[in-house]
Amino acid sequence: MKFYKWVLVFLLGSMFVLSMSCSSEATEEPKPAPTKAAAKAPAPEPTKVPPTKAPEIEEPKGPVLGGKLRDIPRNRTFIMGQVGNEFSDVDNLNPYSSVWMAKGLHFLFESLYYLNIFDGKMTPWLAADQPEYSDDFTSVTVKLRDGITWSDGEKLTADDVVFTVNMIKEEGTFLYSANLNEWLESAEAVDDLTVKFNMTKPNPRFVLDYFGVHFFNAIRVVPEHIWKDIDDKVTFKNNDPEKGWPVGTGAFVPVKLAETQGIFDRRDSWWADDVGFQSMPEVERVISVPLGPADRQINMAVANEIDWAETFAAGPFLTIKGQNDKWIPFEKEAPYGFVDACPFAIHVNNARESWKEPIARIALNHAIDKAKFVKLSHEGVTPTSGSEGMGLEGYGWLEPFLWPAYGDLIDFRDKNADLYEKHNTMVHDVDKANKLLDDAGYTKGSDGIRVTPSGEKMSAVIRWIPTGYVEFPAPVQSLVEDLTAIGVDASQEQVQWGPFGDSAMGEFDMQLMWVCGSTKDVYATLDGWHPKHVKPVGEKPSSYSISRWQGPTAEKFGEAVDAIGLLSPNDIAGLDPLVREAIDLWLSEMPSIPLFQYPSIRPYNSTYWSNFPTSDNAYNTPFIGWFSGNKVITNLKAVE
Amino acid sequence: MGLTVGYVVRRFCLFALVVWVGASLNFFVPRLAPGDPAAAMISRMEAAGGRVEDPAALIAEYREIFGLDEPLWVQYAVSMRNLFKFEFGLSISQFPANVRSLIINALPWTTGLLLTTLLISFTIGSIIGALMVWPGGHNIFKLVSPISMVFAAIPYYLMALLLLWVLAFNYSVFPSFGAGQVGKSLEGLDRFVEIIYYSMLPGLSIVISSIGLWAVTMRGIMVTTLGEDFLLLAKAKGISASRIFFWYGMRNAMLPQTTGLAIAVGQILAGSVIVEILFSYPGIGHLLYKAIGMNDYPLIQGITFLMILSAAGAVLIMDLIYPRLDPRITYTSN
Repeated sequence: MKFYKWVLVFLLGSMFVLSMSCSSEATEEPKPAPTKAAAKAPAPEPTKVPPTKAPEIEEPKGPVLGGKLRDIPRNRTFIMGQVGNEFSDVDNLNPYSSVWMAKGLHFLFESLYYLNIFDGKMTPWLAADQPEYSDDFTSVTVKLRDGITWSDGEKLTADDVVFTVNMIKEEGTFLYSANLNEWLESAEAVDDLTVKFNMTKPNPRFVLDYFGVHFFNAIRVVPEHIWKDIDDKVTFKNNDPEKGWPVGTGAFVPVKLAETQGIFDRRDSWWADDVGFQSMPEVERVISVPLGPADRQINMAVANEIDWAETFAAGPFLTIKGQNDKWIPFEKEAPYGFVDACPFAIHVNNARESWKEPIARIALNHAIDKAKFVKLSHEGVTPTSGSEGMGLEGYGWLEPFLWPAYGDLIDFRDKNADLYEKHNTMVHDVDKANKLLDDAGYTKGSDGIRVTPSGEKMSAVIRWIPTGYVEFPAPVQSLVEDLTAIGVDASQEQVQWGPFGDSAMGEFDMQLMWVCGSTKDVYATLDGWHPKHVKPVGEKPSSYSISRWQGPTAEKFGEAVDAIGLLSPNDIAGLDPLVREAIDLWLSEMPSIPLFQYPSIRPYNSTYWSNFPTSDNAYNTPFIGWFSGNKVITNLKAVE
Repeated sequence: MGLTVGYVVRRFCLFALVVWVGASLNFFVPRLAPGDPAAAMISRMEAAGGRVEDPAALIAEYREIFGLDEPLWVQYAVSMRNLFKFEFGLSISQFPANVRSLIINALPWTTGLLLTTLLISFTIGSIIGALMVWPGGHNIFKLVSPISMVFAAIPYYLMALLLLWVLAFNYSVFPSFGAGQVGKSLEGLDRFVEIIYYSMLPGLSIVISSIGLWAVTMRGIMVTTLGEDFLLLAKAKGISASRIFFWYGMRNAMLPQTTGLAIAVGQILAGSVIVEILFSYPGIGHLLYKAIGMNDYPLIQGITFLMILSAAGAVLIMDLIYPRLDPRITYTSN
């Protein structure tokens, strides 16, 4: 009878010993500080964690993908926390499809220019000077810096730029393929360092839109001497350590890539340092890791395991700040974040019977309590009053129009403030909303639900997608209540990307979505509503023309936008009357409902690094995942 | 051996039929869900890069790449042909990643975790279950019976949440997330130990909630076996108690239990979706969850085809080897 006892003891003992040995083995390195659940109020004492000692390894000759990792200490390492649970397709290093772009690979594929969204200035990087447009804006010339070399030693020339744009045009499925086929007639290398782009029609913002990282990314120049021999450039992985691929111009190359992290090491030499344009970055290693769920984010941030986070919601950020005061947001005071490039709006399907008349949408605007929405979505940390220095005095985070509060865009909004008053954009008045609908013949039935003049019940399903940036369930429910108060049969629906994308085909009532377009120039956002982009239900229009705004007012708006498109973004005097006309027309029919500017909290950890972008030092967007993050990573200063 | 040629042939034909019907359903069902995957791709592009000119043309381009512009019957025929060649094409949501590569990368995490936990919970559960009713068993195993039933009733994902709370949040015994340490790049034995360490919580949640089920079913089978005459004969012949327990009692009781094991092995590829999501474990279940959210037809089809294949294959293998396990079984043509 003793035999089975020994069997059990053996099995249980093995599991116990294994688990204990696993625990002790894996915790030879300093463990993160234990934390309670994220929701509890933390102890205020900040922790000071000494730099982690890296494992001892043989010194390699240079950073090589898949080779032995160099011994680089923690205080020369910059760790970026990325939204998500793990990375996928990790061996793909094609700059047009790799998940590592925005996670480190973008430091290798540099851009011609980097726009600073806060002051509207475009810094030439691979380019030597500002672009020179012809008088009629049908061509633009860009001069490259002399001395730029690829990581394999070859020189970057105008031929590489010409090859790249032609490749994008021919392939057809790259991000900018359709755009370049629309706008670019041809590109020519005038000499080794000069590229001339010939447009199909006047476009004063061609370089800004496609080479300036005006919004997140830009065209990535690839080396012609490598890519010209690749048959299938779309599925090309660009990953061959023996050949030294990937080849780019930037200071950092990938050395180790996995689902749980990506490691990029500083090269031994970099063209920008060689020609005196920039100094070698003090950062020697960049690591990208997935942030995972909120509790892990907080643990990692408090324990100094990350130096930057792609995003935090307000609640987790305050929890972190309470335990580790080294975390620096862009703005010292609430709401802490910087104005994100993509304000939020409710895109109303103007093709639906309930919402096709402007009066219905204007009533909708008055019915929505935007201040309450903002308060709920930002967990109480967003003030409804103005944030000083952010250009939002008087509006708080409630932008009456749809472009972010940057540079020239603030001026355009302020110059037309009287229009917002004229159209009562910011007025929350349920009685007024009800009266407008009553007077327009939207009568209430016995069930309290209004009926359109054509006899259809007014209804709205508000679709939204979880972003991880904003807590939506409660505020969207407040929207439902606001609509119900004016007699609309309202409900909400959380969807994933599949059905969300489907909405764009026209099968939706309302969609809560960001408006990504302008960061310097008004044209991008305005053009989003141009009626020329509207497609029949069943086809996808471009971005926010999913609203399908049409009619005489929309046509006039389109004409104004076309005229704006022919003027340089810097021709403020010429733009002023056209922008005013466009805003006036748009506000008169409200094809979409502006909701709020999004305070994007993407903070830095100052334990090991300094010289981040802040409101006092706004030299770049703090979102280091944008391709312009290259300006940040190359300018960070080590604390010790 | 109790197999006949006729039986084997019929069995293989049935296997092929099951796989084909499953693959066909697998083709049509995702296409019934709302959402155009190509449009979803463009929406995600726009979210990252601003406005895309002429998205309709780009959508058409992608639909052509993925064959979505063909008539449904053509898509079906091509899909069936490719499936049986294990060519799943390119992922839509992670374009241009190859579906086979994505599955191969995720597979070891799932099979490693679930195969291990399955074998552990099966072994321990079966032994405990048998001892619960064995006349010579210690009284403590009789107390285990109600406890096993409680654990059998707790879904593994609830057990996962409980373990997360106790062993990760409150006492930091194990990590709560992922499959490796931040910033570390271990190799060899160190990496193996790290993998075991990070899989302890997801593994424990599955083992604890599964042991009860195996124990309860084994207990029921053992009760039936106890009444068999051969056990009495073995005792009368003076064979040792432990030998009677393992080689007479358990061996016979294990036969139906083994059938359950085979089916469970076949379902391993289904992954423990919720556990993998809770722990952000990079396995097949997590991959499938993301694919469904993105209407990624090729990835959904690839994963579910392998699930169908493994489940049907496990049952087929069980049917073929069962006569070897139980010589009393013979398959005849009638």
